[in-house]
Amino acid sequence: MRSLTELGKYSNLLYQALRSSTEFSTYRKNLFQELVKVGYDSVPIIILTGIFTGSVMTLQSAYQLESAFIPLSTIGAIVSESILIELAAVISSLVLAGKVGARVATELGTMRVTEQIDALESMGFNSVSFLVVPRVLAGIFMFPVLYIVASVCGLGGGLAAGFFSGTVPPADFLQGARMYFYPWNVVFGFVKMFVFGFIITSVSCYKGYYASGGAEGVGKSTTNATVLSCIFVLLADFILAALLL
Amino acid sequence: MLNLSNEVKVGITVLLAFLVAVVGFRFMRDVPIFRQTVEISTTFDRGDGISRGSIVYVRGVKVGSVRSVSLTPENSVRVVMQLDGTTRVPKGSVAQLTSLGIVEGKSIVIRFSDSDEYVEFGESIEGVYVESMTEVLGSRSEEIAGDVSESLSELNTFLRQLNIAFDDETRVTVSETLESASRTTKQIASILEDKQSEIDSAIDAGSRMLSQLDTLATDSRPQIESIMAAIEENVNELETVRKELEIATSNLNEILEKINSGEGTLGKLVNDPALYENLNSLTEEMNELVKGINENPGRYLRHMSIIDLF
Repeated sequence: MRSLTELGKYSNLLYQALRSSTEFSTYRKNLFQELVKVGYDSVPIIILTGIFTGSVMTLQSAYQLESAFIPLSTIGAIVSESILIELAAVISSLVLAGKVGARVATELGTMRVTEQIDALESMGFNSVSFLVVPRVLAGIFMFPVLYIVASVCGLGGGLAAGFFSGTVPPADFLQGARMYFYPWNVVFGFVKMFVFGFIITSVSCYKGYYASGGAEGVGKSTTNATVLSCIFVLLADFILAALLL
Repeated sequence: MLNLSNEVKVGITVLLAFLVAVVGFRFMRDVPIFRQTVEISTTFDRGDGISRGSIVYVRGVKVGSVRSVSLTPENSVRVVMQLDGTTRVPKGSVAQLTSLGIVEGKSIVIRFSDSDEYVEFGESIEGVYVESMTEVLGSRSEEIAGDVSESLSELNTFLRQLNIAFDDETRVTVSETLESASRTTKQIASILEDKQSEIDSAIDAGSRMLSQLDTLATDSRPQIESIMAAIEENVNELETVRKELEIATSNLNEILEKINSGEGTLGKLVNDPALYENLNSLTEEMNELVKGINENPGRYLRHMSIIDLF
């Protein structure tokens, strides 16, 4: 029953956000701020995540596929496919759920418990349009951009790890990666990131927007926002894979 | 860090990401990023294992990749290959769809012809589908499996027949035979044991005899040798005798020839009948004389007295 109530409130918030998304002038300034915070500021952590994901993937695949009958190019194929379809999107999203989601939930939660949101409302501002819409839009827009960064860094990291560890020569790696490179994989990754961006920002906004109970309440809503974001990201990942592959 | 406005930061991020995405995409599709490419197409009977991104080789060197694979209205497979701009394919070259190893995927290998003319952008060359070992095995596996199962069923039948043949009675017979064989073997063994001493002594006697023969042969050797030498000497002497006889015979021959040809006393004697006739007449005359003496001795002995005689 409680979860149904939560779902209703969440849907209601989204509906309000959708309805007020036309008020571009209200959130224009906030949108660019959020785009920078979600996208620009997240690039370093995403680069790091991507490189390590790719290199670990290569080393472990090479370790697992140590057989005379498996050509080295297979490792490249496995790493590139895994990164493009799954890892670049999901690992980045989980990292961003901690970074972006927690920040969004904390910001909104603090504004809620310090009654800043109420102040905005009393001044005649549409608080949803002013606070929620730019954050969700920034997530939807910037997550696919971050996917590009994560994929490229992941493949580069995988290639470099194969080269420097001496397990997979770059030519073999690239041959395998190219052999099994299907543009649909990239489109699928974009779709995933689009959905994950929406889930993480909207869930975090919801949790922050409806926070209550002082500092403790903010902490609780932040934790909930992060945990729920991660859960829904994984769930959405499964659903998308079942639907689109 | 430059103090950039949020809009610029967003713009930079998005633009860079877009550029990286386009370059990365082209890179992964194996389309040369900053170079011209040549596109040529070919058709195969079938296109198993080939897909976009499959590699095109010339003499083992990678020159490009497959750009698209599609089915033509004539039910063959049209493959468009994207080659490096520097690769020039002679007209009449053949594209082979083949696998380079057992586990490797399929690739296209272009075998160049000797022609001086080159294939232009968008033109087509001949394509040949080369069956891989696994495919050959796969297509023949049914046959092989059939053979194997047939053999197995035959083996089964044989075993079943063997089983039937070995019914209880036969089994008893076989075991009886085996038992009696083993009994016989045992008997032979016991006989051998009993007669062991006799056999031993027989063997001893045999070996003694042989050694005696041996010593005999050794002891008599000088005598035998001297006999042999004497025989040899005799044979040599016989040889000289034979030669002398030969000479004598030839001399005799000569003499006989001379006699035949009437030469010498003997020859004349043999060949001249006059002597014989003289002798003959002499004999006749002597006969008459003796007759005359017998009939009338006094006539011839008239002047002869006994006293005179003695």
